[in-house]
Amino acid sequence: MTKAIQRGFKGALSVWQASAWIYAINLLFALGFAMAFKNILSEEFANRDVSARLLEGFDFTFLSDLNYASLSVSSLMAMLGWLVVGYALVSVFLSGGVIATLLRGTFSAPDFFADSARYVGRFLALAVLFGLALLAPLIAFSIFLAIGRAMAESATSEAPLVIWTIVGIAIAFLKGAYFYLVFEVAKFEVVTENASPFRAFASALKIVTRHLASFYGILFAFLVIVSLIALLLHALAPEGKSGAGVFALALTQQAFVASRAFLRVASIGGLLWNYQDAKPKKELSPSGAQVSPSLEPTTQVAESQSDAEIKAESESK
Amino acid sequence: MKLALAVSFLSFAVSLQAQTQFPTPLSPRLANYDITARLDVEKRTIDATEILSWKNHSNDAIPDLQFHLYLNAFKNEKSTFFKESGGQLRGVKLDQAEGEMAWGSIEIESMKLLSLNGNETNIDLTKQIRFIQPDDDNKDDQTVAQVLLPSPVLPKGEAKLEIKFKSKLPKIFARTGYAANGKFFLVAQWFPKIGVYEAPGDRYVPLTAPQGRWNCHQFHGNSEFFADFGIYRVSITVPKNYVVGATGVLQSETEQGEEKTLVYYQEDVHDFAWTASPLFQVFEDSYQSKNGHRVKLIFLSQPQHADQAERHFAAVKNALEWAEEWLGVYPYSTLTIVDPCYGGGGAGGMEYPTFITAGTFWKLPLGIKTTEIVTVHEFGHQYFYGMLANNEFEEAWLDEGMNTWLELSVMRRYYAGESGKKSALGDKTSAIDFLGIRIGDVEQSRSAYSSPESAKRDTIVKPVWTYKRGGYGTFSYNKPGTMMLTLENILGEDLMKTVMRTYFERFKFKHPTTRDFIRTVNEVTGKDFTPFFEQFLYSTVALDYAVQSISNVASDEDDEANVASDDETNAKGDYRIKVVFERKEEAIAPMDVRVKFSDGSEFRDVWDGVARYKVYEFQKSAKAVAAYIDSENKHLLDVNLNNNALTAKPETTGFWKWAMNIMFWLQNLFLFFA
Ligand SMILES: [Zn+2]
Repeated sequence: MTKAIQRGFKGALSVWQASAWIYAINLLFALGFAMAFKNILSEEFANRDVSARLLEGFDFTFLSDLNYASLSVSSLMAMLGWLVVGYALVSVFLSGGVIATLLRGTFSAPDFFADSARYVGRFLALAVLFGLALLAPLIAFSIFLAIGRAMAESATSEAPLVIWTIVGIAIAFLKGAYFYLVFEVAKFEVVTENASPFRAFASALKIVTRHLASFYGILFAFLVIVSLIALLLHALAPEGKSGAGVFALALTQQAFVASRAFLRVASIGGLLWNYQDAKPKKELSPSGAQVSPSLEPTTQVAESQSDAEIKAESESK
Repeated sequence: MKLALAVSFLSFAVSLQAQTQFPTPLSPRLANYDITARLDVEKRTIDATEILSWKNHSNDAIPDLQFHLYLNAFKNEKSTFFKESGGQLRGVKLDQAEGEMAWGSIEIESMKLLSLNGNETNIDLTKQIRFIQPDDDNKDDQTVAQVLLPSPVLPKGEAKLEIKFKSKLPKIFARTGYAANGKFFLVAQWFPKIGVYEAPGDRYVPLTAPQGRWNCHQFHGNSEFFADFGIYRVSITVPKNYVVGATGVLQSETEQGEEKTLVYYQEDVHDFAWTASPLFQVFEDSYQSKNGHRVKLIFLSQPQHADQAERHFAAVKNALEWAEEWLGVYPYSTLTIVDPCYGGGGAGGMEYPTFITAGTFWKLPLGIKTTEIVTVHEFGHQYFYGMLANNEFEEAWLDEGMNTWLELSVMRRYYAGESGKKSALGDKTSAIDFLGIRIGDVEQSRSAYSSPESAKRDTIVKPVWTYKRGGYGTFSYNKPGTMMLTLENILGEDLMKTVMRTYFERFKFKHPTTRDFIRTVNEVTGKDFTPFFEQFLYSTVALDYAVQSISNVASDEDDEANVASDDETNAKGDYRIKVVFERKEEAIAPMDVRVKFSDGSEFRDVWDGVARYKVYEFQKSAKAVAAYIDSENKHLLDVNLNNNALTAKPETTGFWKWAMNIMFWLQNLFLFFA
């Protein structure tokens, strides 16, 4: 597991451009919204002497009196909705490039985007499966909560219900993390085995379940690293009460986002090599490298190939 | 039998030591109660006998008596309370899961006239009882009973009655009832309570009226109460393991087998509530009143909130200190704070004389000050309602609105740091200061009324059951609370203190009205504030003043405004400067206006605020750089404070900061995907 994490970091370093692309696209999406937000506020309030109040921090009265402003919050919210959906799609798109690039070990922008394009269809199908799978922990959580509420009917303290709810959230989170791992490994299956989404998801379920501890371990190791960086940067972040302060604050924030983008790639790397260890007999490479991109086999062929491989793999165990 | 024995023993014990709390009565003591009650925790019922001594303070011969039977509001879905409230109060519904057990009611089993006008009698009045509906024609409402007497209570006469009654407590709802399967009881509005007879000259009964009238409203969806002051002596019998808290001073506690009896006594109060529960953990503290006497503070805590006892005590002590400074002395010697059990939240946040209920949550972070707010608020009612006993049915703002002002004042003085002491809006932390979210109690209360949907919805002074849906909170708490702060800002701290101390001194242990308050303000300040109150209490107009425009035109230029031009001085000559202020809404108030110039000079004026626009024109060598109206935010009633300033130059650094913050949150959200 530690080895996989180390390899993840190494891999992410050697293809650092992948992280850079993720960060840049992330920034682009968010910046669009931030600028729209800033412009709408400026238009209405640049001459209203409220800037200083906002520099001080959260200002509830400014917010409540926005009720009287002519600015359109609804158009901002609509924009936000589209951005979230758009980014979700883009992130599914990019993950193909990230995985293939990590496997290849060197970054080339044309390959990165070609790989992204190659897998996006199947990855989107996987994302839908992932979304559906997430319903399970959500439903389980609501049942868990209902049981807690029923038990609390006769309780005289709210404390047990609070603890019960926290436990429920933790369990739902662990289950969600499980399906997330399955989602990632299924993508590996698609890339390395040229598997169909369903096959990939099914075999990923098996692989993750069999090697639960190491997959969870990697995921949580990265969560810990992100949290530590967050704590550090939070302590270092300036208050941002002047123009220079705001600039410094923004730099700190972007340092965090950039490191998250890098850690994201590194964590995929870690999971990827853990996946490789879980499939000991195979040397991994993107299926696109086995089959030349320009001569990509039809899905039919690709599926039958991966079927055979999955069978072989499961029989070998 | 056991009960009767205990009672006779106890009434002897009490007669020895009671009757001396206030050698000079603080109140007229018109309605005096001696109640002997036994709680059946299994059946959730109370069997009780009430001896009521009622005095007719008027010059009328009064043929009948009227009683509140509040618990009948929970008898069925046909009560006026249920119809108006939709079976909920403050978002809490009557829990009907427990079937019949969940409902509440009060039944008078017998009523006997023991004496009338000084003559002993023994007349059974039970058959004379009938339900009346003075407020609506809902014949199914049984919350008010009328009893015809064999002969009238003569002017200054007295009637003494013995009333045997049985109260069935509902599952905690609308302040009263049981919870936790009978392990928690909050017993309020639980006994037959005589209404208030208003003589000519009292409150709104004209002095010239031929005679007075009963003021005994039905129990309404939002309404609270109205009663005369008196002496309460209440004997409570509960299972031995139950901890009891109640209005007044505990006089005695005796055990009989599996039960115990506690006797509470209090002079010069107008209600009595109590609680009983084996769950309570008892904490005690004390407060040294300004006039030297010690107030015993009792906190009946849920075990899981024991670590918050200090928070409750501190809140009450802060509120006491503030109230004794701004209003007057707290004369009573006890104050009990009840922390309702889980599931008993419907009993939380309520006030009775010397007895309040608060409410908190397990491990509530210090930065979330809801516990302090509710404790301060309920304590404040010891003044606004407890001693200044206005009619809560008809003029709820006098208790809730004024008390909201007390709450806001205490919260910003004690829970907002230094910034809160400077100005009301400087307080950004007294309600919430948690995870970067900062909200002052004043801000949140103001915002609850100032939105375009709320601001002009209703008037403040009207019977509470006639408010538009949702209007009760806005117009009896938030708007009047904000109005009182505005008044304070206009008068200044010292004058406001004099006004409030005078109001308290004059009307404590009486039934003040809105008109009484307005008269007091006018008299103490020597100014006529009637137009101020007419606008904000009796009409729906909103207040909004704004700076409309600034223009600096170089004298040699054609009339072309160059508001945003960067050069600060005009080499060629003077500027013609025009600043326009605007009244955007109907309410009118004099406003401080300020114009700042690029040479550092400043122009100040007070605009009477009457016209729609006020134009100021200047001829100066320096440009106007900013204009402000009510820059100190005295008029917190102004519904939109974002338009109270205008600067010639744009300033957007603060927007950049929030744009960067929002971008950061969004980026992190995105990174959950990839
Ligand atoms: Zn209140």
